[in-house]
Amino acid sequence: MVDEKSVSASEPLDLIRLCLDEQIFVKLRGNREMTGKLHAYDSHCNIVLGDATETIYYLESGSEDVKSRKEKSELVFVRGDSVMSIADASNIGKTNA
Amino acid sequence: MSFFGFDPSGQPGHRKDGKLDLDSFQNFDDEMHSEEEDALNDETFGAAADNLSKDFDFSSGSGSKLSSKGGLKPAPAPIQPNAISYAQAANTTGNDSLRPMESLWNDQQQNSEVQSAQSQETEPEKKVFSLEEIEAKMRAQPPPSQLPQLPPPQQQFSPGMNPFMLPPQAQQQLLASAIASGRYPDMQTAARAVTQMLMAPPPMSQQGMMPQGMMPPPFMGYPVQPMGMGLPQQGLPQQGLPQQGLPQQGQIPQPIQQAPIQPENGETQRAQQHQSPLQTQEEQAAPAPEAPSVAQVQVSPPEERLDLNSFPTIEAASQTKSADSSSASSPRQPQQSHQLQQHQQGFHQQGYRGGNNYRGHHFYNQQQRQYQQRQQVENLNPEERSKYLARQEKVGKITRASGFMNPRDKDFITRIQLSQIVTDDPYNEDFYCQVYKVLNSSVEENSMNYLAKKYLEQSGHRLGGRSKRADIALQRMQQQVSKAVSVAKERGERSGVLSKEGALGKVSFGTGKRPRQLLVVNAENKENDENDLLPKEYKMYRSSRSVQLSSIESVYSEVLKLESRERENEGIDDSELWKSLQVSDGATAEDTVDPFVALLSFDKMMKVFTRVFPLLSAEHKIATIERIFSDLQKVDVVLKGSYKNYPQQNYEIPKDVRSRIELFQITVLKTLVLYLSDAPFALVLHLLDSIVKKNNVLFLCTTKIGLSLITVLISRLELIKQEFSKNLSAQDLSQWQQTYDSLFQCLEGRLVTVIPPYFSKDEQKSVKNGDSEGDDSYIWQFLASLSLAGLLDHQRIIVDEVRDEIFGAMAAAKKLKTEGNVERAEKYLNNLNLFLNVMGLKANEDDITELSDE
Repeated sequence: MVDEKSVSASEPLDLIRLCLDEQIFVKLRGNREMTGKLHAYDSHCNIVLGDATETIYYLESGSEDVKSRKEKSELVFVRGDSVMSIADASNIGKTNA
Repeated sequence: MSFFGFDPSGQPGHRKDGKLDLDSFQNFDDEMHSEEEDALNDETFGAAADNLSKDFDFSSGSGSKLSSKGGLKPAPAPIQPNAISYAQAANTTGNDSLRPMESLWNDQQQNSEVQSAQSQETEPEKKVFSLEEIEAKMRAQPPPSQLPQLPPPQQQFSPGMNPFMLPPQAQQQLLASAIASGRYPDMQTAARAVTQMLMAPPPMSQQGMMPQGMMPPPFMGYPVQPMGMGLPQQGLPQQGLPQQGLPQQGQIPQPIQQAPIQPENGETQRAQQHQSPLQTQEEQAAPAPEAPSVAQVQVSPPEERLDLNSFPTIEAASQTKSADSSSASSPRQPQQSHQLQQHQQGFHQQGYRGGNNYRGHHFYNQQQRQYQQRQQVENLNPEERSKYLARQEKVGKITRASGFMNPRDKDFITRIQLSQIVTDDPYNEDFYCQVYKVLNSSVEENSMNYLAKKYLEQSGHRLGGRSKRADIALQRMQQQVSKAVSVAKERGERSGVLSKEGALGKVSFGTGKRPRQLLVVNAENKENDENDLLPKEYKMYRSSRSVQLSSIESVYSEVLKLESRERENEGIDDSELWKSLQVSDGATAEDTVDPFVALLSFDKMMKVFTRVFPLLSAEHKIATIERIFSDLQKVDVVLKGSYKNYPQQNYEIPKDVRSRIELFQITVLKTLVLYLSDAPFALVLHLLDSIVKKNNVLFLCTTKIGLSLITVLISRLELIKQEFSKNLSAQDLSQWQQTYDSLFQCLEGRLVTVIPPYFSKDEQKSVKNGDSEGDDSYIWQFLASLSLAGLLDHQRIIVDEVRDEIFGAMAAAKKLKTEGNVERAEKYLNNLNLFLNVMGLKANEDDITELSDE
């Protein structure tokens, strides 16, 4: 139970709380990004995403272009230690879409 | 009982098998306990809390152990330091100090032989007594006869000088040296260890030698037995004694050995000098509290001879504590040991006061056991012996740090551990666990009991070993749990931070659920300042997304709060929730949409609506519905839900909008319909009125939600009207007629617009898209309810306007039937008949006939 004060962003994780049930954009270690609907999170930034799309960036040997491939999952648990940043997908804009 | 399953007060190694493995420690522990009267869990669970003096006894009763051995100890410092031959000391120690301690008692035995020989040389006319013998003698004499001896010596005491003043000094000294040895991380640990040392006997040094009858008075406590564990540590060369410990061992006994050579006592006791030490021990161990005090009394005379100089000053202490084992400091050793013993004597008395008989008995047993065991060891061949020693070493290692915590410490730790797993608010903090428990256990025990049991199982507290104690342990643990729960409740502030205004520091505590918070942002004054101090560019508008999101979160918080109150059958006050909903705030110039209606554009707000609504008071419910209805066309799903918005996309409503429309239907709409189905006529009429007057009805009717809602309202009104017409006032009825008329007027001539192109069966406007296969029954329901409430004229107009749709549907059904898709054809006809039946008509794929009661 959280009182009203903490809702108005009294701690950093409250920002994530605001994104519950919304589309979020998550930047991950290992050149990965994810977008999806935030179902749940905890204090370790473990998150559960619904209808998530993971974008993995990689370099192919010999070429300098960064390529990417996408993987979709209906429901995915992302362990918090790989999370670098979390943002409201609507703020990110459609550039990633 | 100890935290690691070991009894620090125990004397290991009494087992005959001589085998050593760690498993046997368990049994060993059991054996120990079987001899102790203490309940297994007494110390862990704080039974001892009522006895402070006992608590003070860190090594669980070693105080009384000591005192029971009081008689065995050398008279404290019957020494005249100057009488000691330092040369002798140096000689004897030089050899011994470097020898492996394994052979300790043998060496010492030789050693003491040498020494006693020496002392006989120096004072040949005197018979040599072991201190024990002397003391035994003393003890044997009735105290009163001894007392008269006291006064004269006391006069020799310099003012303010008496044995009882020494302990603090000695303690300090010890402490300092302990710290200097670097073995203890901090002052406190060292202090404890020293205390333990002082109170715990070094049994090996005593008992190992006693059987030989050549009693070199064992040096008690510190240098020989740094750990004071009551373990035979000297036997272990690798015990990790600080270096200074070894030489001292050799040196110290020496001076003390001079003790027996006191003229006064020596003579009186000569007769009994051959008394077996063991006997002495047994005699002394068994008797009750008087013994040590007697010993003390006996002991005092020699002290009196000390002049003031012989007592170490602080500097002397610090020199000694440097633990420098060089011969330079060795002269001081006697003093130190002297003090030590005095100090110990003081302790004995204290310990004895708190002690009781059974303890004395217990230690007597222990001693006897040790003695036997010692004899055994001596009988062992070298191989067995090294095995035995290895075992002792392991035991020593394991028990090295045991006994540092007293029962209260253990209590405290237990409580901390428990407080991490208990909560006073299980439904909110442990919701899933609670639900799981409800689902999975038919017979749920009382939760305290359950938790206590679980904890005991998990934490390795053995219940099985001493089964008779299991219930007690459980009870204790339950008490702990309830304590922890009450503490968790008292903790109050849910932020986990206690901060007093004006205080520099903050106390913050973490729990498993709420880790320690490092950043504490002061949120108290925020609300006042927010509006005044924030620069304009940082002010958030109510319509901004983040403000809306945080409003929704506060709604959730309020809902959770109220629901938890509801579960506990407390009264519900929805004022906070009402405030967070912002229903009554109304739209301002800044935002175009009412804040509450704006919130409804979020999925999560729709989801929570089903939970919010029942929590609201009656008038708030009405106000909420009114707000939704009067702003219906601004509700996101309605606004975006009209097919007219998407002519470019073939009138197809985008997928995400469609899914949200569905969500709205099963959440908000369902809740509202449920409420309306019980609502009185006047209210429903009022609501319909507000829809018709404040919205663009034509637009609403192009949306699924608008159309469904109007359908519900009309049919509810019509139902009440037909069933309970008697109860309705003429005014209500005329009002209803007016409302209906105005609604109809809005639609008249444009009624076909309610049918989206993709559902239309009219050849001219029909469009095929993804929605075409959807369920269009809501449209026919609307038409049906509209005609139901209308007069014949209205019905005629309606039929006229949708005639093409009616025949289109019939044709489509016929076509489908010929194609073999009977099911779908039936569906078309059924939907059509929903409408036609109201007017007493019935359609099949070919014809429309009058409805007859078949």
